[in-house]
Amino acid sequence: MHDKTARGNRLGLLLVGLALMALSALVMARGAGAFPPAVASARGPLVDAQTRAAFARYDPWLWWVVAAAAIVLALFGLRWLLVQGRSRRLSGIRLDGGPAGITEVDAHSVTDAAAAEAGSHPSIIGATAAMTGTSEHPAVRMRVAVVEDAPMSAVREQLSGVVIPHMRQALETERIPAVARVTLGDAPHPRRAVT
Amino acid sequence: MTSHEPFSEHVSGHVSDTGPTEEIPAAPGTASVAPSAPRAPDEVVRNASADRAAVRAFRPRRVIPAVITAVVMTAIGVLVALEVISALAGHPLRLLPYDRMLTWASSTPWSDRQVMAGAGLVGLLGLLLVLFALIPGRPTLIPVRTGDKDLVIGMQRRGFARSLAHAAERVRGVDQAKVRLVGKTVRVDAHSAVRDTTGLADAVREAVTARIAALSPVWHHPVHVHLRGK
Repeated sequence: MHDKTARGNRLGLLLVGLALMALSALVMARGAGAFPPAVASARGPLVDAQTRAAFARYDPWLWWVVAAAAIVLALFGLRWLLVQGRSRRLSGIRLDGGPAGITEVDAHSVTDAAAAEAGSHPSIIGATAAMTGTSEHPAVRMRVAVVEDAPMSAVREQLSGVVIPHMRQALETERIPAVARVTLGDAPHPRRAVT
Repeated sequence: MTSHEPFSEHVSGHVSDTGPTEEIPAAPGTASVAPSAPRAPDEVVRNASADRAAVRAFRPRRVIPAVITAVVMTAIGVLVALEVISALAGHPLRLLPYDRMLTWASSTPWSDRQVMAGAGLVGLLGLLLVLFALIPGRPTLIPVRTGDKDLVIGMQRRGFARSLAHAAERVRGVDQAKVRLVGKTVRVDAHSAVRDTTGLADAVREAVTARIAALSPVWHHPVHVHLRGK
């Protein structure tokens, strides 16, 4: 999943949470009589004559405003939902081709090679990989299954010493940030491939 | 946020390595050993920003509360928009009993107990969402020290615990060991059929600590050994 999604989730939850808390505080303050009775009486009904009068005076505009606000709320909610499935998996990576044009490298060929190369280490049982990010800033996510009593340095060295340098070479890029999820003693589940 | 990233713990970890040396019970029973095993020298260069990147990469993403909130927001928005627009168009849908709602709202004062309780509930819900947003949460994987910001490695908790249990079981005299992770503390429950368990708890602790060092997690994981005799 996207890092941006995680940050967006927390920001969204924070804003909605603060809004609910503010609403709750206002209602409770009014109910407790914290405001001057002339402005906002605690004894008055939730919907008083003033409110009715306002809706009557600005009819139907006030209702259109309410409808617009509701639509905006729904759109925000919908966008927030859709963003959850967002993945930054790349299928192809464009390389600078110079005057000859643009070369596109199939991400699968790169990730398959990377996974195979990772798996060639005796301590690594199996690996899967997926390219993420953008063509300009590619990144890689891997799942690596390691022999249970292997030291983590085996994974580290195989990835930073062999797999990632080769990917950098293939994609002609300076850096490829990598996130690897390591299971100890289990082969990686093929269907739980990285997203 | 930074208080959850225990980089400072490592500093003290090296100093306090003069823990109890003999903690063997006279009678066969249980022995609890204080967690003060020496940390093996790190193979990896310690890099605070790389460690932080690793911890951050596996923080919970709060998908479930976000999805619930988003669904509720969408539902409320759609419902209100439908009601208002259909009424404006002259064909009210009346999905909500809003005549009754208006009557109730026109006769209920702000100080009504139901209103206050409802507002309190909404406030608590808001607080819950704020907490979800602000609490970093337990990382889904145990971050591994790599010394490189561009290489983030995390290992599954289950595999980590199992690997430590097997390390404990390899100690001579231990026939069975279970490992639980309580927070960052590694609790080893080892069973031994040997009559003389002198030094066994220490040996288990050493083996487990060595295995932790080989797995090089970002955090310091103190080891507690609980030895059960015959």
